[in-house]
Amino acid sequence: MNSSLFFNTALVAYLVASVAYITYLAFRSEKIGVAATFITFFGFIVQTVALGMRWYEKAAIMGFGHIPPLSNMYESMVFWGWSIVLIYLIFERIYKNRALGAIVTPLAFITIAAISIAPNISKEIEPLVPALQSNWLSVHVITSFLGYAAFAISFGVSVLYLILAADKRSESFYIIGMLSLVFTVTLLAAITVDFLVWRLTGVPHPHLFAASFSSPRAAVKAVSWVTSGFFFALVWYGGVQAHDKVAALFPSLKVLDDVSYKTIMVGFPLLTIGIVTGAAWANYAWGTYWSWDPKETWSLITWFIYAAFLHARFTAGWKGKKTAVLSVVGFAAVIFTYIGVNFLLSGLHSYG
Amino acid sequence: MTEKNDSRQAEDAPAPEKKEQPGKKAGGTGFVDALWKFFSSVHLAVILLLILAAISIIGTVLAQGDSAKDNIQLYENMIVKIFDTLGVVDANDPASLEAQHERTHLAAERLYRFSVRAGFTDLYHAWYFYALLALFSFNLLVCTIKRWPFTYRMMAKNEVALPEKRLKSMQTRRAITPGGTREEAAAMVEAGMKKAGYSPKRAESEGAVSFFGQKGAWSRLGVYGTHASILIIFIGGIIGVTQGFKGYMQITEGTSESRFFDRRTKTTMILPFEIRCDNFQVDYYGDSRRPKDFYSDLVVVQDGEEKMSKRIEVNSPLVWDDIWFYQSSYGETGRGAKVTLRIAAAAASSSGEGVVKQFDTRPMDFPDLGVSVQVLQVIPDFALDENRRPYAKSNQPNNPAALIEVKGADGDARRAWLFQRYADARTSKDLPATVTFVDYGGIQYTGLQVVYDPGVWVIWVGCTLMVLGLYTAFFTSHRRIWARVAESDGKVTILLAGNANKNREGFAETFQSLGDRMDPKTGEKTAG
Ligand code: HEM
Repeated sequence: MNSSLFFNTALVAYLVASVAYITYLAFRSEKIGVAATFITFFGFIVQTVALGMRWYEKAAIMGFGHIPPLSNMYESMVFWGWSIVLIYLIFERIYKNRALGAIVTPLAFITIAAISIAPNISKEIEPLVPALQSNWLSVHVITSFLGYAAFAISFGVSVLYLILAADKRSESFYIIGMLSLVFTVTLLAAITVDFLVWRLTGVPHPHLFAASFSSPRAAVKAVSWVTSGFFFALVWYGGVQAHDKVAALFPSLKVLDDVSYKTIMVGFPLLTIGIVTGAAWANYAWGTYWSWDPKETWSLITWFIYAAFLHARFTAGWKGKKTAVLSVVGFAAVIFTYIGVNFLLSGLHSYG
Repeated sequence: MTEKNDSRQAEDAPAPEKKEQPGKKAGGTGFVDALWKFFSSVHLAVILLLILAAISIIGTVLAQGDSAKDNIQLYENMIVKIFDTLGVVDANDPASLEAQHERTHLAAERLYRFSVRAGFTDLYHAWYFYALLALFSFNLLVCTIKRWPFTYRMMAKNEVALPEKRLKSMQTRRAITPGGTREEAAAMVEAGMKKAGYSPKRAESEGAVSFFGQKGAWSRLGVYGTHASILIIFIGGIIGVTQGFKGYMQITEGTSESRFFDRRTKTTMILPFEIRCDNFQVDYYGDSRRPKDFYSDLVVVQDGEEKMSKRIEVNSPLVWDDIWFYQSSYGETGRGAKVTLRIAAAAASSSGEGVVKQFDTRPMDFPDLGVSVQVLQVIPDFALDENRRPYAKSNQPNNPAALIEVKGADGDARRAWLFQRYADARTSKDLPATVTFVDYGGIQYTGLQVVYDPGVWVIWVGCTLMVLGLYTAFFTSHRRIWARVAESDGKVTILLAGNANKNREGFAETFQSLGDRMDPKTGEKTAG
């Protein structure tokens, strides 16, 4: 038996839970809601076991018992998905409200699904280069990703807030919220389609979005664009009208605002510890605690943005929409720190 | 609807922003006032944070500190990428790239020249970046200082006997009719608050008994810790830049070195001691060429004396005299040769191993094994001439061989040729130890990062303080409870009121159970 069986089980559990949460929202059936929570929790436990097994497998190969399985993109993304579920479950318990599960579980599912299908991403257990063999690194990665997970939840809630709090379509806050929603949902849907097509046909993908936007078949491509255009129009026109009905499904705006802020309050110290332990690691490995490399700098940029969020909210008296925008911007920075830097910046640096 | 102020603002009502600052007015002119106001504004802080974020982005997109050629190449790549996205060129089509090359290259050069002038190529050391950080620090300092009197009042200057009106205006409050006398009620309140950990102070006025107790007042210091930590980290950074140095040194295996190249001054500097490298080695994962580990055996030699020795590797530096030596690189010197021999006891039963390297021309003793081993001669491409004498057919390592001499405990010395490729082809079978020819290679050098940074501990103090401060600021709260026991028309009432600056839900629960214990209606329930 190996860990991938467990990972796949967890993945399926998250998919089922996503459907259950959305059904729960639509029909407000308490039973379905409880089932959704249960399935999520089950998926979480299974994934925890899977992580533990992978750790064990890795230790067996490399003899580095103290290094958790967090040294490449695949492993960290899977861990991120796990963290999102963890933090969500805690918040669900505290707030006794499971509406947000309809946003969070799909996010967790897609995070893990995306990385499972992405080409050029190795899922193999790889030997570590010497610089990566450090306990500082373990703490650094774990805290950073828990922080990123908290920010992801804040992002989802803030987008929802921006859309629900808008009074009219022309409001810039509404446009920001809507574009974030359409963009994220389209992206995630395309990845899900990739994943499902891959699972159903068994044919591996040459690249991301191969089953939608960048399909070799013109028809598929066209359908994808038309669908996302349709979705855009639907949200754009329907968003404000459906406003009250949708709003009734979710916790009050005040609660959304509060969740967005509380998750950042959890994420910010975690990100801080992440940056600090990263610096400690660098200092121990190279004798430089800060070298302004793109990844470091982007984590600092993210930190600045969330610090601005906290001050805007605490002391400058911003609330609601304005801080929700900062949360969206902050999360864009998180994504860029995590993925964009690797693919865009270092990419540029490496092919000179 | 949601833009309303929450109770936090209400709790912190006497905010210094709105209050006159005593002593500030006295010497202040309109201009100084305006300046003070400008620098103490949190809006400025939010804006500065966002500007810092924006400027830092520029720095990550444009490479920092590489050579001009690299940078221009980088810009060109970027421009091509943008053109590709816009459909002006097709990056996968060499002909299309070639057609636009002149344009993209020229644009890249222009962009580079502009970047240099604007300081973008070394952005994080540009004067305006420092100026921004200075402004930020000043803002932080002023803001924090301005806030202090208010915080201090909140922590230490709470009135015990607040007027009834004030208590009634608090969000969390409760009126209880306990029955019994006023003194009985007061004693109950005092005991209840004490039990809940609020160690109440008592005061009497206007015929009423008042109590005040608080918990976690220090929680308000969290912000100060966090803010101070930022300044401390800046100070640590400045100490490092002004007082420390950072350089690079190369030591060839088997030699000592005390010079290193200082990166900042771009000069060679000399350490007051020498570092000797006895050995450098790379280990690989299995049979692959992926390095698992590389390390150097270093010895610190000062005034001709060996002071300390350590095997350093990445993540495990050597520290001497506050100077840190990090394993950073390695390479071939292209000079000399090195053989690595493994020595084991002749009898398979006894254990023990050792390694000999050729540049040790001295014999090496292995007391555990009772032998000493000396490498006498090394030939990279072993062959025999017509007189059956060994010679080197070439200087390529085609058939490395080493002539060694092994002395046993009895003083009996025996010589043998060993071959790396042919482990069994040794010329003498009765050596007093089993010697294996493990590796043949050129002599390598080890590259060390040499760092002296007296500010680094300041940085760690700052970081620790920051994390503690954040924890305190976010996850602990200052809770205050007032109680007023009064009697009117022979009826005793307890007015209980309180607030917390964080985690109101948690506070509301404690408040509730505190009240429940005093209230005869609910008290019996909890008691029974
Ligand atoms: C990146 C840098 C900064 C960090 C990480 C930081 C962190 C914090 C934290 C954690 C709080 C606590 C919030 C609370 O729970 O009450 C806080 C509050 C505050 N910060 Fe900052 N801060 C930074 C920069 C600044 C700057 C530059 C100013 C200057 C204007 C400032 C002014 C304030 C004020 C006035 C408060 C409210 C204090 C109170 O509630 O009594 N901060 N800051």
